[in-house]
This record gives sequence, C-alpha cells and structure tokens, in this order.
Amino acid sequence: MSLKMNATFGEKIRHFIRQAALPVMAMVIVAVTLQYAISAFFINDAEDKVHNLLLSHRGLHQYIQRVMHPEFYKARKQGAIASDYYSPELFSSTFIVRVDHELYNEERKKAGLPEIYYKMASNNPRNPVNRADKTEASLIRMFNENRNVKEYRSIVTLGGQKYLYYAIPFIKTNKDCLRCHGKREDAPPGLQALYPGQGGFNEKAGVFRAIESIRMPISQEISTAYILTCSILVGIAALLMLFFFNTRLKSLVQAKTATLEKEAEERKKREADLEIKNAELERFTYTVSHDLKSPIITIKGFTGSLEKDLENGNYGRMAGDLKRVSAAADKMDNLLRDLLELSTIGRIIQSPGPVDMNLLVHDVLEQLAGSLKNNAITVTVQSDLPTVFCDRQRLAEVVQNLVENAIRYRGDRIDPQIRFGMREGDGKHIFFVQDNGIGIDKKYHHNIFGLFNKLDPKSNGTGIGLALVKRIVEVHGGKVWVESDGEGRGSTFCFTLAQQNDAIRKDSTS
Amino acid sequence: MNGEPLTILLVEDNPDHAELVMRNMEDFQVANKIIHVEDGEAALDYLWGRGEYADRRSFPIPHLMLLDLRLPKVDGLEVLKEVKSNADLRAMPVVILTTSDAERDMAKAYKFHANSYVTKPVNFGEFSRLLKDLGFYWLAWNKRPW
Repeated sequence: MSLKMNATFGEKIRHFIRQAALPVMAMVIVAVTLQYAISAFFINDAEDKVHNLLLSHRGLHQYIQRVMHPEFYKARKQGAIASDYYSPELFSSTFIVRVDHELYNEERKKAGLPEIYYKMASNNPRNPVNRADKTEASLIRMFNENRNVKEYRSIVTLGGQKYLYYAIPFIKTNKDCLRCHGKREDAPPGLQALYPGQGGFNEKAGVFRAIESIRMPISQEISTAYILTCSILVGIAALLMLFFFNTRLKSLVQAKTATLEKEAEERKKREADLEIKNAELERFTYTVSHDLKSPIITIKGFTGSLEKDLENGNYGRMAGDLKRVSAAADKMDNLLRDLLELSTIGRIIQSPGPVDMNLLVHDVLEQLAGSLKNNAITVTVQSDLPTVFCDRQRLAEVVQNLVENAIRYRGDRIDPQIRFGMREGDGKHIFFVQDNGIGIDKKYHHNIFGLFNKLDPKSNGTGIGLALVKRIVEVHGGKVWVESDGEGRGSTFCFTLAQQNDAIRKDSTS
Repeated sequence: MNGEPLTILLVEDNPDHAELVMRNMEDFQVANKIIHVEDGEAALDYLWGRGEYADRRSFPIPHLMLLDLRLPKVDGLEVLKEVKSNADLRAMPVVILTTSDAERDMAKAYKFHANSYVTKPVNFGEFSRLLKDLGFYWLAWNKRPW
C-alpha cells in the first residue's frame, strides 16, 4: 500500500521534473544571455568613459606640449623667464595631468561618484608615485615588444570592487620629449636641480616609456546589470507563470464546463426519460382504473338487475344476465393476467441469445394449431429465416400475439390466410405477420398499439396484446408497426429487432 | 312533448353498460327512442346524417346525447369537440357518462363545453337513480332547444 503510494509520489515528482525541465533550461539560457548582454552593455559604456577620459587627458597633454611648452621656451629665449627656471607644475605634462586627474577625482568624490584610478605608469619615473606596479610594468614590456597591440583591457577585482582595467601605451618618446627625458646633462638645469637622481632621464626615442593605466569602477554597473537581469528574469518568470496558470485554469475551466454541460445534458435526458415514464405510468394507471372499473360496473349492474328480477319473478332474462356477469368476471381475470404480464416485461427479460426464427415460428404455430385448424386458416412460413439475437420466450410471445390477432380479426372470408415472412429494409431484418383479414383504416394505425385500445368493442381481446408486442419489441431495441390498405384489405404487422450486439437494451425499470 | 318522440343518442362501447343504461331508461320510460352506437365514428356519422344514418326521420337529431369518453376509433372528447363547434348541434345537451373520474378528463370535457359530467356509479341502485334523474331532468324539466 505505502509502496504503491511512494511509487505514485515518485511518479508525480518525475512527471513534475519532466514538465519543469524545459522551462528551467530555457530560463537558465535566457538568464545567461541576458546577463552577458547587459554586462557587455555596461562594460561598453565604461569603455566609452575611459576613452573619453583618455582623450581629455590627451588633449591636456597636447595643450602642454603644443601650446604651453613653446610659449615657455619662447619666453625663456626672450629672457622673460630665467633660463634655469623649471617647475613640474608648469613644465611636466605627467605632473599636470596627474594633478588634474586628482582634482577631477576630488570633484567626483564631491559629486558622490567613485574615483577613477589613473596613472601614467613608467618603469623609469621621475616621481616615484608614477612607478609602474607589477602588472603595469609587464604591460609596458608587452606593448614595446608587441607593437601592433594597441590596448589592453580586463575586468579586475580589487578590495571587493570590480573595475574595468584599461591600459594603452603612452606616446612614443620623440625629440621634444628627450629635451627633458634624454641625458641628464641635456635637460634644463632647473629640472636637473629638482630631480637629483636618474629617474626620468636616459629615455630613448621610439620607445613607449609609459602606459596610461586606468581602473574604471564598474561595481555599481555590474550590480545594476544583475538587478536588471534579475528583474527581467522575474518578469519573464511571472509572465510564464501567468501564462502557465492561465492555460491551466483555462483547461480546468474547460474541463469543468464540459463536465457540467455533459451532466446537464444527461440530467435533461434523464428528466425527459422520466417525463416519458411518468406520462406512460399516468396513462397506465388511468386506463387500468378505467378498464378494471368497467367490468365491476357490469357485474354490480347486472347482479342488481338480477335481484330486482328475482323479486318480481321476472326470470326470462336471468340466464343471459348471469352470463354477462360471468363474462365480466372472466374479462377482469384476463385483464389482470395480461396487466401482470405487461408489467413484468421490463424486468423478466432472460439473458438474450441466438434464436433460430424458423424453429421459433414453428413452435408458436404448433401451439396455435388447434385454433388455426378450427378456423380453416392456411398458414405459410417463409423458409430460411435468419437466426436472431433475442430473448426467445418474449419473442415467441410477440409472434404468438400477432398470429392470434390475425386469427381473431380474420373476418368472414372463406379462405383466411396468414403468412410469416421476412424482408430487408434499412439494413435490418423486418419480420412480418400478414393476413387477409378485416384490415385497419390508416387513421388507426398508430392507436392500435396503445394499451386497452381496441377498434372493435365486441372483440374478445383485452386490448393489451399489441401493447405487449410493442413493449417487448421496444425492449429489444426494435420497432413495430402495421401496414394495411384499409378495411377489408388485410393487415401486415411488421417488427424489427436491434442489431446483433445491442439486441437488448438494459431496461430494468418497467 | 306534443307527441313528438324524444330521442336519446347513447354512445357506449361496452355492450353490457349500454344494456344497463337502456334497461333503466326503458323502465322509467323517459324517452321514446334510444339509439345506441358503439364508437365515436358512428356517433359522428349519426349526428351528421352520414351513410346508414342518412334518413333523418328514422334517425332524428337527438334531444340528449349520453357520451362515453373512451371510445374506439374516435375518442369521446373528439366527438364532443366536433358537436360543440357545429352551430346546428351546439345546443344539444351532451352528458358525459363515463367510468373515468380523472380530473383531467373532467376538465377537458368542460373545456369542450360538456353540459354535464357524471361517472357511472358501481352500485346498481345508484346507477338506476342516476339515469332516471338524468332522463327526467334533461328531457322533462329542462326546456329543450328543439
């Protein structure tokens, strides 16, 4: 029991995983792609900022080199400035740009922005603050060895912060540079005085003597990227969930609606069935009460009349009246028997089986042989009748009732004939009992199958026979009808049975 | 009156009941002539003077019709409807004389303008008295339309 339950549970989980695997995989792919795209966007943006910064530094360098220096040299030549005057604040582009950047960082700080690391890193700096660290030193080497590499960039983590690290070689040392960076003794005396060591001297033309090294903080951008990715993912997930639940809800509602509709339909059908049954029952009780009361009135009426005649010594019609009383009692008896028979049909249907119609008809005719012979009726039965699937006893009653009817309503012909046969119609076997008797007017063809409906009040039938036939045939899923060209022209009673497998409708209510 | 024969048309499919009715009517001698037909079709043929009932002298329009409801061929209610929708026959008193005491039948009969609705009593004494009273009421007390 528990094992089975586990199995079902496991099965459920497996089912769920199978169901969830694809969406989860899709989500992972989407997440990775999104993260990559958003990060790329921010890194690109950071790169743009780096470029801007470098360009603006370059601009400053250019200003110093191309505007300030010539002006200084001119002023010195003209003697406006002492020939040995030197000050990094006015001459060193490295110094100026570095200080400019420091001030820029201060402004950034004031504005609440993170600082941007910037360094003109050199292996041979005049000022130790410009000394390249290990990474920068190896990059300087790399750029000098590898002239076609124009830039270097990577994402680095420092002290828990993420940066876009970017480096490009500084301008190749040229003739102008060598004024201050060449041999010490060639440098302006002021400069020599200021920097006593060899730092910044002895550079060679055509060499990258420094790199511009920048670390652009991108932690905020990265986390923004994460937040953005996550938000989009959550959004997509929410949409997917909504879609999933909507679909699920829709199918649930659809299923429920279908069930309800089906139920409503079934209920309608049941109600309709019930209504038909009720009407049938009402008709039944009505006719029963009417037709059972009728003989009672006869019995009571004639016994009353008999009493009166007895008192008056009026014996003449007593024998006749007694006969009427007796006949009425017999009629009640017949009625009750037939009614009982009719009421049990729905219930007493033996399990159906294959029945050879040739044998069945033969047996029925055997039973009625006396009556047929007495009335000099010629009976013909079609040969090679099929075997049908039905309740044999009930079908025998059908045939018997139809043949009895044919005998009863044979009329006053001298050559009464009854024929049992079969024809095909609508893909079904249509069996028929044909006679050359009194016939039935077309307008009564429908009525005659109703309970207690008799066309001839004087006939000795109870008015149940055809109702019984109809009921048995219908319980077998078939139909019964009469064909007749009218009074005096004979009648043909036809009936069908259902096809093989659904021969008997399960009809336990009666 | 005036030597004019009073005619009753009895429409009754049960020969025993017809016999009882006729026996009682004869005993009380309320009518001069009782014509008995066994089904609705015959009743209509009679009233419209069709077929074997074509001769109006032998088969005059009745002064009273006793009509059973459950009848072969044409139902009693159908006969009633036909009669009451005919301008010439409408005035003829029609008494429904039936075994049925079903509400539905009674309601329908009155809807189709039956003049009276009585059920056949099971007790013979009552049966006799009913017919006597009926006869006297409709043929003697009641002012007849013709």
